[in-house]
Amino acid sequence: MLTNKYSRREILTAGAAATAVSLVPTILPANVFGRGGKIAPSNKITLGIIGAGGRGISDLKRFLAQPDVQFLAICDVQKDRRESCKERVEKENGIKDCSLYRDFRDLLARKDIDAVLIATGDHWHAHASIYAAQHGKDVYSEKPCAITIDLCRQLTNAIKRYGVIFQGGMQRRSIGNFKTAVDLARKGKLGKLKEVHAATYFLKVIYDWLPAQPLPDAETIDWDLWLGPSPWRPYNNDYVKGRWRAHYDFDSGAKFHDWAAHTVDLCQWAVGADGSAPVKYWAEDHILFGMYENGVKLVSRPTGWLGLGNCAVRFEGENGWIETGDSGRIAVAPDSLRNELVNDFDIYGKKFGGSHGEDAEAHVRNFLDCVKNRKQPACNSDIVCSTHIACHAAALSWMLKRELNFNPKNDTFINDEQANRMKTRAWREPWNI
Amino acid sequence: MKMKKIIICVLFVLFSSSFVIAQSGKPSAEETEKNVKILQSIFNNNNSTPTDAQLYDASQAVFRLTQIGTDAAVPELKKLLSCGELNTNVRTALINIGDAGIIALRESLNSIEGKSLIGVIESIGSVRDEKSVVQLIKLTQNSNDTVAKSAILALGKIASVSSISALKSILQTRNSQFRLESANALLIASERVLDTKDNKTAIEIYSLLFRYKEFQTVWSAAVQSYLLLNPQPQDALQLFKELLISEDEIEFRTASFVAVRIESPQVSKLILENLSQFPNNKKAILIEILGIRKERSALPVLIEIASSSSEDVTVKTSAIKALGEIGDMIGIETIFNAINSSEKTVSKAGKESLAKLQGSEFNVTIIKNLDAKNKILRLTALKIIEERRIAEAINKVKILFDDSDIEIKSAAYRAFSQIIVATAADLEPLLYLLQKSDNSEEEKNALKDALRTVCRKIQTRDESVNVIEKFKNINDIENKKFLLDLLFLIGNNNSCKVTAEFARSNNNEIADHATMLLGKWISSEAAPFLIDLAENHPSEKYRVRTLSGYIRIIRQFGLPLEQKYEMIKKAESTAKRGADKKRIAELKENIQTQLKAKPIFDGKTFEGWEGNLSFFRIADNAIVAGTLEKRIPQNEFLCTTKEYENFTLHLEIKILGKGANAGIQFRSKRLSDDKKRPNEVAGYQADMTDTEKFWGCLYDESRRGKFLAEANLDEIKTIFRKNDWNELKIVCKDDNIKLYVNGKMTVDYTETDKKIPRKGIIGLQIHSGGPSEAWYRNIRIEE
Repeated sequence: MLTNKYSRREILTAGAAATAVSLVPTILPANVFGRGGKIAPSNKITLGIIGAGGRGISDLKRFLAQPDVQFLAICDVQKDRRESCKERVEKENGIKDCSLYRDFRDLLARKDIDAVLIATGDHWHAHASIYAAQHGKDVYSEKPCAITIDLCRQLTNAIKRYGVIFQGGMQRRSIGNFKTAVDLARKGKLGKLKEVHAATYFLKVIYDWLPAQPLPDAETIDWDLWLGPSPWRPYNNDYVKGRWRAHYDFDSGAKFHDWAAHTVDLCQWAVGADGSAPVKYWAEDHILFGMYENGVKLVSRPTGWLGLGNCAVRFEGENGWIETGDSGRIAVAPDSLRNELVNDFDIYGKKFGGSHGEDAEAHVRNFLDCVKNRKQPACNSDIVCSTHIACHAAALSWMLKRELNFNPKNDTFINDEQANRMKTRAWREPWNI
Repeated sequence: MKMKKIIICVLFVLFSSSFVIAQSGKPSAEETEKNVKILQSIFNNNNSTPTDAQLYDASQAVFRLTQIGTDAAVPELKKLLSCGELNTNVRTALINIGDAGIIALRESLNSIEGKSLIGVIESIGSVRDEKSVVQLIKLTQNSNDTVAKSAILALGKIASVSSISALKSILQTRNSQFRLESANALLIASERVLDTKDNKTAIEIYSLLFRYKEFQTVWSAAVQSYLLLNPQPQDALQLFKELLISEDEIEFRTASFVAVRIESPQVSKLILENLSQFPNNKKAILIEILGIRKERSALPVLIEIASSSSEDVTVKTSAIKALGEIGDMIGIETIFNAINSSEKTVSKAGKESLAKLQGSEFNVTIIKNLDAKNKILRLTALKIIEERRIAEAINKVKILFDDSDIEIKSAAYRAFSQIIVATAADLEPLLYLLQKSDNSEEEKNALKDALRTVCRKIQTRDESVNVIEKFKNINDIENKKFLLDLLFLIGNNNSCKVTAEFARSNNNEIADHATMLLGKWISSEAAPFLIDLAENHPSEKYRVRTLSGYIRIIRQFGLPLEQKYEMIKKAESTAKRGADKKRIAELKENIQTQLKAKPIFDGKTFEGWEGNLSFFRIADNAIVAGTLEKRIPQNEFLCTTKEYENFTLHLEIKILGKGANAGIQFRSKRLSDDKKRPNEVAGYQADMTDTEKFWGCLYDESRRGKFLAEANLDEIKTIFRKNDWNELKIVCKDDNIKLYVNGKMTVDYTETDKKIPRKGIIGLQIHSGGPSEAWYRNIRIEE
């Protein structure tokens, strides 16, 4: 039983008293904090980017196209990236006065930034998101959003803990042709769903290190910060130039998530499995299988598609199937289903009202609306969490080369200690979360 | 030099790590011992700094221990906790090993310093080790600030009674940076106690955190959590109200967050009561929130705001959006008016909201609007009829085909195409209209959209192709290309055939367009047409293009291998350009390899095999020889009925049972006539046991009785997977025999004895002995 009674007065006067005796929280570098202070008007959302590589800038462009975004800061551990990003937005978008940071903690410390776009390498996404949430920032994070099963859970817990808005970069949830396909499956137009197929890459995992190269100075490339929470290894330029994929410490799971984060996500959506995951996983070559509790089979495969573009999905039911991909084109059978398709696409997939599969515009808009009205976005942290856990479990069955049984209610592999061990990694100091 | 070393290690560890990964899911004493020895050899010999190569080896050993390590690894791992290069995975390993590892971490809290200590504290926190609380509390006073903060965070994760009380005391006594850290830790602790249903402690934490407004994020999070927990509805409502009307941004944001998440009707009531006093930006947000809450009681207010001429545009836009979210028909008129607005954002919101409305009278209202005086309303009605496929409107829509206004006409075509269940008969009138020469661009585009829609969903596809063919002499070149687009959309064999005819057109533009479409065809039906064009088209450009389209079908579509092979051969004989030839050769080789290795066991039956079936059974698509239930009294073989001479045999094998022995016979024969040992098979044997022993060795079974060639046992140890599937490949070519285990060649033997047969059966053995099983699967052969 609660005995105290709270009113705003009590809460706030107590707060004021505390403020009177306290200093500015010194976790914030004083100079940065001093510069802040200005509170942005609610109708403009102030934004910073963390990780300004190719995908980051492409996402950023979508943000800058929106009328209610004010862009303030760029952070990247590589000097050439942060500078060329600044140059581009100044030239192409007329942005002025945007600050550069090497360490994202300095960016997060700015009180005048509402939201961050996180587009670092995979191994940084969850940590950066969690720190951003701790600073009260709303987060748009590129996928894959967390590189272990446990980290997925920690991510969504932190997002909920601080009550911030989180959008995972699985923008196909906001794109017409994919929505149409999922809709058809969910409305039962295909009959009882039997199989859901997700396009993926060929899998690959690398456990070794690239040869050591001389360490650049931190201002040019801050290798310690690039590594972040991942175990130490010697510097090699290849990693920082984007060739970190498939390396176990940096990749979410043998390159599987790169597409699967999108395509398995759409399958999860079609099956109605958001918040859950398949209960059994196995692999044959580069084809990964999952089985949902209701008997629907998840098939992730790199080949055998109809050629409708990247990141294809296919849903098969007792009465028909539908397949679509990044081209925007849709194929269905039997013919009677053609009547169900929404008139969103012309024959080359360019849409009247929609966009190409990699285009995050609608997804970004959805995020910005939610930043304002505090609603849950299309790919909120709970959805992101369950989709990624399904992907991790599938990739683990491939890496371990055996069937895995999984309980999605408590994230536990049944009778497989090794698989359970691979759900967790320790983080390099000082990156505690 | 260093580089070389690393590469050698890389190769070694690549093999050994894949070996570990493939093992069963349990920790392994044997593997632990091996890896601990690696670590000892690197770190215990002398005190010199390890080289890069040694660090690499050590990191891989530690990594393997994270997965299979047992308690035996703990002492060596504990020593490495202070090694900056390795300690991250050392901690992963210790946590994974369990109690013994956690004890080691706990003990290290006293002995380790600096950066490494921060990591140890993190790990202690992540496993929520309550027994470390006393030490952690001490560490919160550490002179290194980061150590102290890490300890505070760990206390929050542990969330025991004593750790929470320590955090409260830090929050109330220490300086600001530690206070913030402990406020944060308390918030984490509250989550943990809520997991255990201890709401009381959580509420106590929130009420304490309420006093620290300076830590905005934590404060706001505590208030949000408190309100969502809603222990005292009346108080909570009062608090919500004060947050809502606060001028402070954070407080308002906190209220908004709560408002979209709790159901209490009082929340809506409060928002509505105070709506007029908010500045426009906040008002707009609150109106959206009323929409998200689907607050029907807000409808009159929303309608009033949306219809007002004095309201701010942003506010009006939100009101229109909210009317759509609530979806009640009562808002329809307001929404229609909004669509008519000169303000772009309002009008756009109106269109979006109209699409969301529900209700039985909806269709009637919309159809009625087809007669409206206002053109925008008529257009909107047509658009909605199109989007919602309101079939009842069909007659009125058709009448509008003759409307004098081009925009109305165009919208009518589009709506028509959506609401009909399309048949070939619907195509003809639209095509006639398209053929008319006096169409404006706008009308033409609308007709094209309508035709596309019809073709996309048409169910009588062959008839539709016939209708389109009737128009193939349509005068305008753009129209002709458009007919091709329609054929593409119809996308069946017949339309493909007609498209291929167009591809031979003398008109370059038409040929270009047709070949482009064929190259993207949605089904493999296009293949015969493409190869025909690739062979016979008069223009080289289109021969090359259609060949590419043909190759695309081979590569991308899931066709049977045999069919793909036939297709690639055709492509091969057609290709002229070097680049195409190269692509084709690569693809062909790929298909051939797959094709050559034919399965000789179907996974379900013993078809093609013979033997004493009381010792062989089929399970999980594999042949299982022997049993773990009882002893194997004598050697048993399951043999192919066919003989093989030169071949590559691929298969996977798993051997279970202590002391088990098995093997693959090849170029062998049964000794059925030998009265003393009719069960035996004589000939070459790729030998194997339940351990790495004999794997990859070539034995001469029941013939010369000796090993003809032996594998290097050390090498086998690095690649063999115990109790798991191992791949074996046997390559016989004339006198030469090669064996491969898990992709690595173990034996390269040349038979010099001319009397030894080069041809014979293939047999799967289980050797006599204790209870054991040999599993064989994916048995494929290339001849």
